[in-house]
Amino acid sequence: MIAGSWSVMLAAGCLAGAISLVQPRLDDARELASWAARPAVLPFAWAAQRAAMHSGNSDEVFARAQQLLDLLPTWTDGHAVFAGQFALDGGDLAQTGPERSAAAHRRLQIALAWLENARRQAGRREIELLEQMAFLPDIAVAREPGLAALLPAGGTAAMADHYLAIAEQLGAGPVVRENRTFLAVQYCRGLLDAGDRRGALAVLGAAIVRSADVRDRDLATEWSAHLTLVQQHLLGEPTDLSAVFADLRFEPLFPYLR
Amino acid sequence: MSRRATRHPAIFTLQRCLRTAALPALGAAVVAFTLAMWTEPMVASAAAATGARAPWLSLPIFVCAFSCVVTTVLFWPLLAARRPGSDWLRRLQRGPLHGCGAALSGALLASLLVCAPLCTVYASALGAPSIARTHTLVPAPAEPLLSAKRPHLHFALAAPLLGNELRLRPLASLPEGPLRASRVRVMADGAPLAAATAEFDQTGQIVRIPFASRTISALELVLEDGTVPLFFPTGSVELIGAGEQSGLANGLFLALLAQIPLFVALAFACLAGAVAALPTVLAVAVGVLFVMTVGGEGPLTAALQGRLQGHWLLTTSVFRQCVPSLLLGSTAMIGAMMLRRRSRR
Repeated sequence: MIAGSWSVMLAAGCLAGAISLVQPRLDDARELASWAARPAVLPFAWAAQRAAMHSGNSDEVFARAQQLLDLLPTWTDGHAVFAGQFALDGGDLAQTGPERSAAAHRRLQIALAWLENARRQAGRREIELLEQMAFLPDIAVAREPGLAALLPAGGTAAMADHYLAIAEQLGAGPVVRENRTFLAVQYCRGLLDAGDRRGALAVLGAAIVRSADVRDRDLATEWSAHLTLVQQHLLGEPTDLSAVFADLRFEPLFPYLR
Repeated sequence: MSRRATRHPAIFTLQRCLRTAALPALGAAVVAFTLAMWTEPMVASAAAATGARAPWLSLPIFVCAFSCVVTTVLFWPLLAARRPGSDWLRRLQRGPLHGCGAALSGALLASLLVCAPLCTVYASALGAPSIARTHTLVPAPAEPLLSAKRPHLHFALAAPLLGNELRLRPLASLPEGPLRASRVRVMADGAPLAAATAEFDQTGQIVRIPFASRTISALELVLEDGTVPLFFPTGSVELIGAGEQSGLANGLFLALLAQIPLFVALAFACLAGAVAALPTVLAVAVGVLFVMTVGGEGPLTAALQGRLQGHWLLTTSVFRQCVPSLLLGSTAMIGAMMLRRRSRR
């Protein structure tokens, strides 16, 4: 009995010592809780996410995605795809004109705010997340042209600059601006996986425009031509994709091009 | 109540389950509500996303059912083989289930009493609407494909329905030419339902068409333009009823539906208990309960979501979802009776 009490006291002392040495933060506790809950909850969270996509509205799908990604905070591709889907949602048929643009603006703001929040836990993938955030306003405006008038001074370019400047400060260097167009393939794959062909087309359109940022003109021309071929294929136009299949940078999209 | 009635196994189990399940369920509700508020999602309209709060409603219901299952299996000796006191009880309880059925009823009643406030008051606190509307899934025609070759689709309703909103969510196929979103006009009983057309170019898009309340007996979808073929299987066309039903009654019906996982879990405990010892019976019952609540099998998950989204649950489609679980539980009970009769010989 006495030995048992001593053991408990010793264990409590060790625990207190460990806590004082490590000085855990609230985020650590959250990460530990999410780590413990993940195996039991994740399969059902995915099932609920799929069910919401089949029977819920865009708000519910995004809310479910947030629950899912709370368990996977470092999965930046997932964050970018779900935020993109929400921001690019077609909206309500009953809404027209300014009301529709305002709704699209609100969705874009929410998606960017959520991604901003996800940056804290993105770790070494923070720069990639920032590049995807820089992409989002361009795509949203391509999808909902009325949105351009509601953006702050400088429009999508200023918003993209803001995120890219942060990425540069984080050590990505000036190359981060050129990289944006090359991220489109992975982003596009994520949207196609989620069944969002329209979103994928918007990403490709924006990436073709952004290929102008690439300083190596030959590379930019080739990249832009391949992106255009993929875009034409997704639009249902008869296209010869042999050049795209020869370019391994497009490998993530191959299942959707065959 | 007579002294004989108060000494019935159902009453004993009811009291025991109420004592053990009420506080943990209340605690789980407090924790779940706190977590729901703490992890409030960032969305455009919180009211539109109440369905996503279903996990926070299912948590206390699961805790309540878990407590009732464990309490009942531990309390009634004949729910597991070779328990102390089981021989005495077997002589006293002469029925085909030796009182297991009564214990099961007591547990279900206790769980219903705990779940009723959870499904009404607590669900409202989570954002469940105070009124509910009937959501009728319009049955699909034999060939539910809308394309340039077949630009008309007719949907006949089983009975005329008074509605004020239609929701369309088709599955989109690959375009039959350069991509052009398909524009669909909706006609109800021969007249256009809305001035605007619905546009679809990919799967997952939902279009809501609100209209002034009217009775509808047939719907027709007409493809006006576009190259994307659209499939409209059952479930892709939903008519929302104009009548308002009580949210409280909806909550009480949900409480009733929440007993189905507990019933199936205890029925399986009853079956396993005819031959297996306590640890096995507990594992079987808790496993079944987990699959039917957290795992999302059975009608409860859809019902929880429906309650939070304001869908009226007292409909034939919800009842149809319950039938397999009820049949499974009843079969397990019949199997338990037969096994026990054989072991008595």
